[in-house]
Amino acid sequence: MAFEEIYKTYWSKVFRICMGYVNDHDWAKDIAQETFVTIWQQLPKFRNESAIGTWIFRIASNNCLRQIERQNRMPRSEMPEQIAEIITHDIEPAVQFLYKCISELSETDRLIISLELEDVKQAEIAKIVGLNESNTRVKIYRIKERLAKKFESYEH
Amino acid sequence: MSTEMDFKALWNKQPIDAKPDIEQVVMKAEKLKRIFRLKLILLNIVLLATIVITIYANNIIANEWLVSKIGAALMLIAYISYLVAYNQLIPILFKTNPEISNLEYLNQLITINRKSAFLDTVMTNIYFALLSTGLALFLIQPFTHMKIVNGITLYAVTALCMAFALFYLKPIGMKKRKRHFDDLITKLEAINGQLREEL
Repeated sequence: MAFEEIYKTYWSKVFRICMGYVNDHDWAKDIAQETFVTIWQQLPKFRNESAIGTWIFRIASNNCLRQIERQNRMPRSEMPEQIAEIITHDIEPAVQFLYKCISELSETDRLIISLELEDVKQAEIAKIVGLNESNTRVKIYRIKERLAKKFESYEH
Repeated sequence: MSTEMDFKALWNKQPIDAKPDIEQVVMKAEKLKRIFRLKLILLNIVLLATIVITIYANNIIANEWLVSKIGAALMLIAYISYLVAYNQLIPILFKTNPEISNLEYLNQLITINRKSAFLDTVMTNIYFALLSTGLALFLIQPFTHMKIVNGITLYAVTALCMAFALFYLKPIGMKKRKRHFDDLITKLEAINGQLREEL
């Protein structure tokens, strides 16, 4: 698969995963770009040992985890309310709420649920994260349960 | 609302930032490569210049004593080892592999940070030990050619400068870097722990 094709197919998926992790458009765009730079650099070495999607999501999720080293970024929740509002005003409230809920989960849960919502197979998620399949299944179930509870209180 | 399908539908409604021009991304990557290469060249120039200057200075001063030559050599080794360790070796030796699983990647990051923290302490101590010993040895010969008052002043001023670096600058810098590494390792271990939690 050529880089151009990968870029076209996976940009939105990688961007959403990064959004699920940081819930900040600019930051997510930066991580997504870094991911594609890594993909561009590593693509000649890609040996088809895993599916291309799994390989891309591994790089993307590892890049997300690496954000811990960039502590000078101001977390979205700490932004002045006015600025936060300007940036998000045209996004559907329920969509905003979902991403907010996800960004409040623990780091690895954010990645797991983002991959799940991105329609990545659970066996692949297990490979990306490094857990076994049954643990991954349980984790996904519990995260969804938590999200569902949050949405119940959001709707009422 | 709270069904799987609803979550997926909402998830996909997230507006996607327009993907940057593909050439822009590639250019960014190439620029990064160029910057890295430039840094490498610059570092080698600095290293080469340091070696040349030290050898030249050593010849100008016409050090006949072996201790002075050893002193100059020690200072040179200190300088080179510091530069090599901090600018070149660490990133090359501790390069991460972004294609492994999150769990392995986190373990890799933890190991790298632990090694970096250890190397930082060891390298800083080695640097200061070599530099102060080298300087003390290097100054013996000039000292013998000076008046006793001038010699003592020279040693006292040098010792003061070294003491300031050793007992003030070094601990502050090391403490700051240690805090940075400790903080990072703690956070990484906490994330790693999330994957090891009992289910």
